[in-house]
Amino acid sequence: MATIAVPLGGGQARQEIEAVRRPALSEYLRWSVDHKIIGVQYGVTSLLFFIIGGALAMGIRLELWTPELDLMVSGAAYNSLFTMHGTIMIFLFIIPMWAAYGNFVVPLQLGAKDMAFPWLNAFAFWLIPPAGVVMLLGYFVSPAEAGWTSYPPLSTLFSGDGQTLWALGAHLLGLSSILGSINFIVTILNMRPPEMTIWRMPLLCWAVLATSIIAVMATPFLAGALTLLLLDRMTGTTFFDASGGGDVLLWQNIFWFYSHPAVYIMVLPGMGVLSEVLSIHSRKPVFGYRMVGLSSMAIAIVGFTVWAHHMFTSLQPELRIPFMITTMIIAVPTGIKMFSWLGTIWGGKIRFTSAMLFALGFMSMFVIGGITGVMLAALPFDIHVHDTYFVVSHFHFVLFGGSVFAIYAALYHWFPKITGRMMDETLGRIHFVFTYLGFLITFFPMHIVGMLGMPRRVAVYDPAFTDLNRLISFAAFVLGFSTFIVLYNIVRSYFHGAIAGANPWRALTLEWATTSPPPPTNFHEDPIPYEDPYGYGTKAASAYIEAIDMAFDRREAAPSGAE
Amino acid sequence: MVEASQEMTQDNHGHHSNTVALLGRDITVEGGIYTVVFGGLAILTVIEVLSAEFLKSAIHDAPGAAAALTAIKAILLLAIAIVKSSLVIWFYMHLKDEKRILAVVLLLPLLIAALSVMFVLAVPPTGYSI
Amino acid sequence: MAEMAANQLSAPAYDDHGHMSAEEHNENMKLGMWLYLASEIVIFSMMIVGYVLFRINEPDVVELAHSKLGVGLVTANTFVLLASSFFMVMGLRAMQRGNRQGMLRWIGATALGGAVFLAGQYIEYSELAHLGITLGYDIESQWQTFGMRFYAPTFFHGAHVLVGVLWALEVMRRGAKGRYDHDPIGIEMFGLYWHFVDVVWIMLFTLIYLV
Repeated sequence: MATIAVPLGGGQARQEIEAVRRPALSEYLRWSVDHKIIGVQYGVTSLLFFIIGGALAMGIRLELWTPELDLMVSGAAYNSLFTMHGTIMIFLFIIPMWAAYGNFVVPLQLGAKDMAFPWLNAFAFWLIPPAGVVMLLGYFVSPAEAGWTSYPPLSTLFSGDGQTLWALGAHLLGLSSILGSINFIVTILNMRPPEMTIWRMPLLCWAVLATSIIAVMATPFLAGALTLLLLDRMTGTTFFDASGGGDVLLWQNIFWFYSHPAVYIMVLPGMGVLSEVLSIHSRKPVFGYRMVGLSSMAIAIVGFTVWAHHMFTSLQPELRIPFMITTMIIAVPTGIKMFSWLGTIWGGKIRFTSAMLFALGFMSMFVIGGITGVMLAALPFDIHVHDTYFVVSHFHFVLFGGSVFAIYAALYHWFPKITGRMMDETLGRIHFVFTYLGFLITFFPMHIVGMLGMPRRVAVYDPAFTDLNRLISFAAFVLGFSTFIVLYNIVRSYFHGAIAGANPWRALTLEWATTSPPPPTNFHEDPIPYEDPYGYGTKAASAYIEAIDMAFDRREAAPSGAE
Repeated sequence: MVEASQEMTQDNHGHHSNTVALLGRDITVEGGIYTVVFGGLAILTVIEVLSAEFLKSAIHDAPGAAAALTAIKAILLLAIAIVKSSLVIWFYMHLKDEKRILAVVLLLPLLIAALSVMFVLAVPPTGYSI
Repeated sequence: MAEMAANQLSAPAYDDHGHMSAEEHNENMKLGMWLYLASEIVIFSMMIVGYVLFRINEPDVVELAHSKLGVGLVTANTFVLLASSFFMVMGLRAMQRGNRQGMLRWIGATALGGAVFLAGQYIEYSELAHLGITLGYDIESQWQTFGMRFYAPTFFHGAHVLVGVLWALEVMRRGAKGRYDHDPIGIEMFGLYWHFVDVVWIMLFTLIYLV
């Protein structure tokens, strides 16, 4: 590189830093169109629902402590328990949580002052609290009992009014997701600085772009299906009622048209986070940048062709093999990412920060989830373990071991930018150990009980499984406890954490080229992105990072060799 | 004079012109291309309804060829509908003047929806063919 | 420069985001609108598929409905909607030429067209109800599930027309105040929506009433 691009003219920025303060609490409690405020609103709301959903999970494990009914009065009550757990974790925690990081980080990474449609952004967020309330209310009226998948006729003929509220809530959340995603796509495509071509875009932006494309194209399927479901429940139509000329399988098809791509909505941003965190904390360029970006797109597209593997037991037998093949094909782009991550940390100067630990945790857990995914895609095996705890284990490895670990990694990574304070690293490591072991011991034995034949979604099971279930429940309580460590860490670090400075991780992407937290307009001058968002380890990169330090923290140049 | 010439240049520019070259002739009509497209839509709708009615009676008269005629009818009518839709999208929604990305935005959901619809139609409602 | 920035910072204005040029803003608006319409395509396709399934499986019932209903009213209605789409684009054209009064007249005609369409749909629904075609399933009925499969997509479309009519009135209200004199993007947004609703009807008309 011939010239070193300096992100900011040093002089005037220094005085301005003193003036930057964290937004007042009242900013977060009202309608705001600032993407950073909205990001935090999304994040705190999702965290709240995470706690509720987690409490329900504790209830599930408490019930399964013994083979008989004890906590719950009936099997139906247990049904509504896991229905709410699944629904809250998917629709009200993971999906909005990625909107939180997307909102906060993506415009900053693009060097933009805000999202493309600030008002729409706020509107999309404010759909979530009422939707959450509607869903939770449903639990107290006469709860939905059909699982988060809501297959008819369970969801049409058997569940109570809570199911109607469930559908309404899901409808609102779908709308929120569509509107938010439109915003992301337009922002990412249209609002990059002129120097940042699409091939110089940070990989989180690639991931959010792919996620948003899925959300815009797939969520309407859910909206259509929910509309028909609501009609069935409320006006006496029989779209999903075979006894009235309807078609039960229609729901399963449309639902999985949405919900399989939605799996990638939940995990693709996590993969983007991983590329960021692994590269920054091991001081190495991302291995195979283009392929990682393209594999996000490939996952988004192939993700639309695999839905029927959820229906191997209800589908026409001739169609099983084609869906088995497409499902195995989608493991290829995922494998590209996995090898990119390995290649990225290979030979790097790995710093075992909390963010890095959780990123490595994601890699180890997600690979297990991915392999069990391929096992489940194999038809003969799937028929054997269909609807057992093996499936439960698989998708928790993907969604907890994958998404939630990535959410934690992102939390430790971007908390300094969001609040201006560092998270406590010691607490972070303790949190990691408890979460990692708690998670592994909770969900790994589920593979075994599943293979032994314990069905999912039952409160009463064969006493032969008692010991394993007690082990699982005990570990689940440890896992539940570990959440309080990170909550305590968040609160403590918010008030007492070390001052972060603009660029605590010495990163090259643009969100670090401004103060922490960023001022209302994000950047005082249009920032100049470094030529390669992950070009660590060169003199030019060191110079760029030093220029950021000089501009914002008046820090003297770090001792050379830190790169 | 200056204003007039501006009006002229604007008039010569694409969809602001009242004159449209159609089938080798210049047609001048208030509204230009938009009016011509509307005329096309109207004519196509008339053709569509008339051919539907004609084929319906043809199917009624010739029960032996009913299956073939029903298929022809469906394909013909859908083809006309697609031409009409394309006219609206191309001219009224200005796709012809827009960036290519908007065409992608239009075609991607169409592709996904078409595949899904065809799948749902192809799979027997019970899941198993009897 | 530094003072200016400091002043801005002394009163952090988290709602101050007039940061884009009009051109950038308009490009964003168009892309956003097209993406929204893309999602609508998928919803409508799911509403339509229920009908098409029935059309394939129960041709006799559909043909009976066609013969009872006739094609006159719906053809007239289709013409009204096509015309309103034409009025819409003429309204945009008038505003682009700086003719505010012309725009108001054309958009007014658009809204009227939408309203007439809704009235026609109401008459049609009344006729169907008279024939005993109901939304809910009735095991006694010769129509089987024709009712729900017909009403769901057409009513969903009708609801979009209703939203469009209200939007047209809002465009007229704003336009009368001169909101679009320099930048007609607001009209163009409504136009995209309205033409899309028209396109959906073109497909519904063919699939449900003719095929």
